[in-house]
Amino acid sequence: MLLGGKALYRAALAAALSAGVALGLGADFARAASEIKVGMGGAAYAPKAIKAKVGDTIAFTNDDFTDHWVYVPTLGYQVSRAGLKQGETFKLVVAKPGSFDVGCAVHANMWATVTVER
Amino acid sequence: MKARTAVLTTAAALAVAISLGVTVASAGPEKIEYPKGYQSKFVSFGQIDRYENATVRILYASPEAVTNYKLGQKLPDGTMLLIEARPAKKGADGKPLLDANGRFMPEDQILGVFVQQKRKGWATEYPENIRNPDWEYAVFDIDGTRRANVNTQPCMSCHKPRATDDYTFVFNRVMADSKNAADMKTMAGKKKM
Repeated sequence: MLLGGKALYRAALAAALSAGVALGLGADFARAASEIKVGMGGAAYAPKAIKAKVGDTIAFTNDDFTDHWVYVPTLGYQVSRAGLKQGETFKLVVAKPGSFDVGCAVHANMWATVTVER
Repeated sequence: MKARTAVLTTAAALAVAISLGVTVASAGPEKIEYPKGYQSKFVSFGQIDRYENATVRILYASPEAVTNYKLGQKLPDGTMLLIEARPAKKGADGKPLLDANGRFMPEDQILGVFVQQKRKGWATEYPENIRNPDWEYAVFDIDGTRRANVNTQPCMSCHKPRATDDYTFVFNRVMADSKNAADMKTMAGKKKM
C-alpha cells in the first residue's frame, strides 16, 4: 500500500520521534563521566554526602590551611592519600557501586560518605 | 684508696646505666613477637590502596581479636593487627594498574610487615603526647627478622588521634559493620592458632 499525503507525513513524523527517543536513550547510556568537587575547608568535607555514578571522578581539594588525608576504611573500597597539602587535589575514580566513608587520619571528626550508583 | 673507690663507683654507676639502657631498649618493639604463619592463621580485613606511594597494604587481624570483638568496647587484650606492604603493579607510564573494581593490584614482593599489638600495661614508657595506651608497634621483614633500628614512635603519633577507635584506623570501622563482623567471625572460626 502506498502512503500519500497526511499518512506519509504522520509516518515520517513517528519515525523521526522514535529515532529521537532512541538517540536520547543512547546519549543517556553513554553518559559522560562527571568530576565531583569536594572541599576540605575548616577541617570538614564539603559536601559531606557525596553522590556519584560509576566512572565519575571525585576531586578532593585541600582548600584548608593545614594538611589533610583522604582515607577510606570501608571494606572493599579502602584507599588512602596521605599528607594532602594546601592547594593539592587528589582525584579518585569510583568504579564500583556502593557506599563508603571518607575520613582524615589527623582529624578524627572529619568524615564524609560517598554513595556510588550505576 | 680514694682513686680505687672512685673507679669502683664509676664502674658501678656505668653498670647500672648499661643495665637501665638495656631495659629501655628492650621495652618497646621487642615486646612483640613475629606472628609466624600469619597469612594462613590470621583473618584479612581488607586492602588499602595507598595513592601517596603506589603501594598496597594488606590488612590482617589475629583470630581472637575478631572472635572476641564487641561493638562499642575496647579491643580485647592480645589483639594483633598487621599490615603487609607490597608494591602496586604499574603500567608503562609508571602509574598503578587498576582492576575492574578500580583497585590496585599488589605485586608478590613484600616490602615489610608492620604490627601493632595490645597488652594491658604496655606503652607506659612513652610520653603522654604520643602514647597509645596498651599498644606497642614493631616492624619485621617477611622472614621474621625484626627491623631493630626502626623508630616506631611515628607510628604512635599517627595513631594517636584515633583514640575513639582504640587507636586503629580501619579494623574497628570494618568490625562495626555487623555484616562484616559476622563474616569475619565465621572466617576466624575456621582458623587455627
